Amino acid sequence: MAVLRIFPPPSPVLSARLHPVVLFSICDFYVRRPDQADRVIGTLLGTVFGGVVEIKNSYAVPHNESADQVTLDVEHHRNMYMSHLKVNPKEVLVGWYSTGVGVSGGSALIHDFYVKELKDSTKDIREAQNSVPPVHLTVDTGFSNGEASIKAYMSVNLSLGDRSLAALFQEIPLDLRMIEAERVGSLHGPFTFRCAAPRLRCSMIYQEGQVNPDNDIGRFLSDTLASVPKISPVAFDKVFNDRVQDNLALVYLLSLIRAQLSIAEKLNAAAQTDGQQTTMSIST
Amino acid sequence: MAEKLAPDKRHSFTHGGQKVFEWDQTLDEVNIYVDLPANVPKKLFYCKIQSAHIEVGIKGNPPYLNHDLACPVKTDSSFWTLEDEIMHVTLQKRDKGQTWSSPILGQGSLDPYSVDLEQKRLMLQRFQEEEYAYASCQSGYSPSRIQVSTSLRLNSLGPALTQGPSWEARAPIEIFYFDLLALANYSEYLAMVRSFLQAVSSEEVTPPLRVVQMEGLAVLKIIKHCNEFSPALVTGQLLGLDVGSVLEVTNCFPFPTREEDEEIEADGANYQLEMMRCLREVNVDNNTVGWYQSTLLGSFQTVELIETFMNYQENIRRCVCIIYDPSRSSQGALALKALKLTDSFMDLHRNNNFTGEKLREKKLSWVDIFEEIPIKVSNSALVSAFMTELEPESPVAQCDYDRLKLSTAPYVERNLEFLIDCMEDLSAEQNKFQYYYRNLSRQQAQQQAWLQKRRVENMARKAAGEEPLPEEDPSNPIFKPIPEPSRLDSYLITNQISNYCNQINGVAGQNFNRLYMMKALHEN
Repeated sequence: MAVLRIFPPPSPVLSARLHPVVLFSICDFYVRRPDQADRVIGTLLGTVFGGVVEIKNSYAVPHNESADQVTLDVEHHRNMYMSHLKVNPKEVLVGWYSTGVGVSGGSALIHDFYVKELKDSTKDIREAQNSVPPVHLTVDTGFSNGEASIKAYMSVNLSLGDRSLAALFQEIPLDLRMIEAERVGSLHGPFTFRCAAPRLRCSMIYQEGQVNPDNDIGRFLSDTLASVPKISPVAFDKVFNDRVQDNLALVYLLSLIRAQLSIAEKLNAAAQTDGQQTTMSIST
Repeated sequence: MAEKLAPDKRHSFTHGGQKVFEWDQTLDEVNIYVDLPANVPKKLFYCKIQSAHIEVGIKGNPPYLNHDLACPVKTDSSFWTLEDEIMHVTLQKRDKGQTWSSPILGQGSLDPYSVDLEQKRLMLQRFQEEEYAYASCQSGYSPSRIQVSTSLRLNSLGPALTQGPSWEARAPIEIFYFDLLALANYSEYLAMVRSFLQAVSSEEVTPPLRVVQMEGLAVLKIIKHCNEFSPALVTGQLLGLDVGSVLEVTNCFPFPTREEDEEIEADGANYQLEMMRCLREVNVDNNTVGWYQSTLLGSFQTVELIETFMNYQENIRRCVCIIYDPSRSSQGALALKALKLTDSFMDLHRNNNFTGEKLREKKLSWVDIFEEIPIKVSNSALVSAFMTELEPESPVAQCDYDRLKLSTAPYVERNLEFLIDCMEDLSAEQNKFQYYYRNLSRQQAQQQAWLQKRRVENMARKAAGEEPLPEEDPSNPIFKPIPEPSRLDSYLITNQISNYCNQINGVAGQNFNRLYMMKALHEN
């Protein structure tokens, strides 16, 4: 009796991590897409480590989609891949993305292509054994459900006996990861720097009852304040004064250097105007 | 556009001292202007245009002009009109683009120099037309963009013309060949187009660059690339648009790290070509507007930077360099800076003259070398929508702890080390100048002494009745002028020092803030 078997992926891919650069890049390409295209397709680059696929970079690949056919510009894809590898040889092919919601028939074809590409691009056998099948990322740029949905899928083959029937796209958890500097860079418009000082100010406002106190924030603040290490006042004063003195010395030194620079310049200029008659000794 | 196509002035054909007619030509037509005698009724003037022959005259009289045309014309689109006292004959050239040396066969030909000029002018018109045709079928092109891409095409036509020292500095090459390349006088055409472009660009009033507008995508890409390779220094290319007083940077791509190998040069150029071509296919702005580089603690003012700037400036009208400092960003601020060389400095550098005289003339001091331009980050609506959706909910838990770090000592220490090194360099430079002045004055003294001796000798000789010797002797080594050391290095070092000072100052200020805050917390 033929049994419907689901083959789990060779190495368990638990989740995917997305860097915001990729998201920005996808949106940018979507905005610039040619008029006749509904969606944008591209390659994802990154690294795989310990079951987590980290998606670090991406580029768009021109494609054509009609009712029953999908064509992809393979040349372009390969060229861009080579170019990217030249810059960063560690970022390899990990999957592909498309804008729009859900997975369509055309997507399955494209996915097959990427599976083949991944096999071709892994050079030695050991790498091939550790390689993870490509991840498919969908970014809903149309905000169809009234919210931004970014989903990642792994493909699983459904087969009946020897024939493969369909590919099931299973969703895997995705999380948006930002390192410190990226977080600073992703704040759009005027940079909204959140500094501790305003927070202290806002805690004072809470205490004065002007803003409706949020219990969570209040508790968080009091925890933070309580966690300040207790040092004896004498020791603290000494440390504090030392640091302040160091800083003051620094500031003094810097202004001295700046004065020095401007004097040196003026002396140089003066030496020239006096010309060759007098010898001016320029002391540094 | 029409003004540019109209010819500048008419050529006059005189015969026997009398002006027979005036004429000029454009790309596809030749205009002949015949002065008409005033006392003849208009109805009597006639003009017969045939495919290779023209006849102009007054009815009932022998024709005024009865000649073969130099080249064939299209009779159905040629016509003549009477305008004031002039008969204006418009002949439509059958072979568009062919330069006529004279409208009439065998007579009134222009001298070869003028023919050359005409030819060049027509080629330019054709070039311009094709440019506009190309530009109009792509959406979103602005006139300044056409100019930029024209100069890029120039590079593709003559790689020998751009002798860039490093391939990073060479402007990207576009693979776009026109059939104009089939023209025989290749290099002459290039020189002419270049001079035309220079003339046009200097005619337009370029508004000063006020702000650099970067897209979030470009910022993130730069940050990612620089952080990945930190502490090694990396560079990349900026792509975007030059719109009036705003320079938009819409995308960028990194350069692979270059090893000291000659073969990599060609690879690098290929890489650039590939990237530009592929990016164009997906509709990314394909204009280079500058480059970015990462720096270590702000030590980027070097001669190489200036060289790169000059290379870029030759090819692109406006370019900017974005400097990113990964170490400062780990302190919690976004250390992104846009730099440009000031125009006065660029003029000076072109003449390669950095003596004190010239600098004082232009009132240029070390602050005037680089000009910092404010950066504004903008995002498309789609990206903003995504960001608002995805921004984490509780802002409190997500604060930047880096800014509260109390141990800034390592960062400040390194800055101070660099500062001390720079001071040593500066003092070395000062010593050089001191040495130069001392030598100069010594030479002066020697010259005076020699002159005295000569004068005494001359007196003696005059007394003896001999010829006096000349008072100058260029072959004498004490008259050799001593070259003045260039001030560029000392200016750059001074810039560096001031940069470090500013940075340390900033950190010191922040330190004060933190210390006092700790004190306040403690008292609570």
